[in-house]
Amino acid sequence: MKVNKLGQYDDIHKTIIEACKNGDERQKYQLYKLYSKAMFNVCYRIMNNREEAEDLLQEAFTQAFMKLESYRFESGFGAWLKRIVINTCINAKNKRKVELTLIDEMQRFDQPDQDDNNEEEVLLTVAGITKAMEKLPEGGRIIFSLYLLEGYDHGEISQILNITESTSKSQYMRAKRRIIEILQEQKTGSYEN
Amino acid sequence: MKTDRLEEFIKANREAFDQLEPSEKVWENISKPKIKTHKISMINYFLRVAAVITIAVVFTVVITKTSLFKQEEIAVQTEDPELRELVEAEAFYASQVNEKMDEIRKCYDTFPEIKEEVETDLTELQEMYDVLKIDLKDNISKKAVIEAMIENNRFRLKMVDQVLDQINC
Repeated sequence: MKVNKLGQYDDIHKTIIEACKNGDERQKYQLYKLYSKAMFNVCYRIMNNREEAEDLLQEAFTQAFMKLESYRFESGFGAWLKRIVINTCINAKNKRKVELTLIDEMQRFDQPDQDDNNEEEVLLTVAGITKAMEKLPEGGRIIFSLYLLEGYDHGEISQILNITESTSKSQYMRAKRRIIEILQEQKTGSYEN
Repeated sequence: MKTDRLEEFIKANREAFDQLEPSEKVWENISKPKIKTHKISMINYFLRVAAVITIAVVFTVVITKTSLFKQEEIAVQTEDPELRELVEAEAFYASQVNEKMDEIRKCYDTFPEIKEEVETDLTELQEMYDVLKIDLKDNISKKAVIEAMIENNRFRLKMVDQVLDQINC
């Protein structure tokens, strides 16, 4: 796994985590405050729905507090918690028994190649990319987000999503291309308006 | 590589991608006292114990009734040390549970949701206890039945203790 940004605060949080293990409710709130925003965004990127993301954030934190006793400071707390959050979301998706919709390669052939020539000119903004991600098919969106934003490698993603490593890689490549295409469409769209 | 621009941009602006804030109700739900989930697992455990005892009692009844030796009915004697222990335990736990229930009942206004849960659980336990009392009269597997009855009492006390701890009012 790539270096996790949340990891750098782990030592500072050790006392809080220890207090939480002893059932200190106020410190639990502190811990929640520290991690809830980042974890909520992880949930949202997987679920693509605010309400579901909130429900699963709640479930994941409840589970994390219950399992806290088993956390031995071997990995960063952020990474440990994030794995619980991701598993909770993926389990919720699996319960629906609907297979992840992956990005179909056929979509690529429908698009004229000249789009690629204009890629350099596409304006990259956080808001634009976030919007484009929301438009991706579910599988591609989750893989893209796990790889690029949450810092997992394709081996880990294949385990989390129960897919092959090559599917993860190819879906990631397609997701990147689709995002550029969507940004391109947004750009042309805004000129037309 | 053209698309690497995208990767680089996201890596450079990683923190800006965490813009959404969860609503207050998420923490409210997390911090709510979770009496039910904990208790259900304990009740399930107790139900399992009760089921095993009931099966043992039924099995023994069948065996005894079909055996050639018709045993003389043995009257339950109050001087039996095991029974005396049961009577004492019953009195002790009942007073403890009642005392704590008085405390819990005072909090019903603050935590109306626990009222039904606690009362239902106590009624269920009492029903199980009544079944055990009938089993005791059959005078079969007496030791196991008495143990189950004491366990039932102990469980009731443990449950009210937990409720008191969690409502903390």
